[in-house]
Amino acid sequence: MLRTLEAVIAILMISTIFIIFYQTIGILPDFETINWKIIGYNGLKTLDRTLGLRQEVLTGNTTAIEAKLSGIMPPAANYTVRICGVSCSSPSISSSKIVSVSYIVAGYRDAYAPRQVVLYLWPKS
Amino acid sequence: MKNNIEKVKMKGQIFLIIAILFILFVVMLRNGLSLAEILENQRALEENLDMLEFDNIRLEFIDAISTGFNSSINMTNNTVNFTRYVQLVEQSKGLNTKTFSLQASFGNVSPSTDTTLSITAFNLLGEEISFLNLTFTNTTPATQKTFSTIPDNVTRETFFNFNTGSAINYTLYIFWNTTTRNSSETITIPADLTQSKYVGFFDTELDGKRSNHRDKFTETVTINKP
Repeated sequence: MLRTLEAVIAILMISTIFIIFYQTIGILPDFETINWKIIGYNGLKTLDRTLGLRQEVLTGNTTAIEAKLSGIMPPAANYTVRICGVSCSSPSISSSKIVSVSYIVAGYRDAYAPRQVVLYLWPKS
Repeated sequence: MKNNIEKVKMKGQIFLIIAILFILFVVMLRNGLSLAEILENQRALEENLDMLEFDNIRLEFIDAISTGFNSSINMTNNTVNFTRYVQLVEQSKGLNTKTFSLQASFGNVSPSTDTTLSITAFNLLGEEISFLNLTFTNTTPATQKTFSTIPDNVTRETFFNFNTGSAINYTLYIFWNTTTRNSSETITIPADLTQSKYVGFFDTELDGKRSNHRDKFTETVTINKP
């Protein structure tokens, strides 16, 4: 009988501590999506500096950009690229967690043609 | 019999001892987990992202100039249009940019011959510039041009003349004010004989989601070399 009582007291002590400590902590921030954005932006920047992003943007070749990004993007994420003028229409992706990052280019060589490249990332299901 | 009772008692106490040890572990874990620190790290990462986006805009001004290859008119038009484009893009994302630019250019400089320095000032600060003063050190005393009002999203053009027998660095002083702020800038106009140049000054600001970024920079391009 005494042993049961002490076990109950032990459970109550642990439960109380959990309630006191963790009821105020709230939801922890989601670092994964921020990291995806930074990786995505740096991926586009790397493409711009070394792998001919501008040329592909000028010709509207999103497939080529996606292929060039394949080795850079996070393995846990799906991604797609849109090239647009001022605003992009959202892609039809059924995911509750989707992030996007945009990269502006003014043109290519002597062709002034401002566009933004928008990279969408979402988790692999 | 007494020993058995002691054993039973100890078996019960062990629950309390385990509970106390577990609580100590949880307390230590909780103290090491600072929510404020986690949120601060998140904020720093997000600000870093804002900074990267601003850096992108800033560098693209220089690329917009490059696309106007060998034409100061194209360089000026491209950067003015690019400034408008960037503002529209950022507005579509719920952000805002404010830019003041001044672009100066001149054709090939011939010794001891008047050369015209063309100036285009562009206001995209989101408010009217109530006073703009330009002072150019081409003569003594320096020549001045003033504008009383420049509405938002409007360019103003003017010119100065200079005459030199050798390479010289002129100075262009810029002062502008709006109802909320003002700014003074000094830019160098390098005049080299037989060369045509473009000098662009940009003061641009991005009101980001989490932080604001502002930068002022000058880009000088030699259009024709002898």
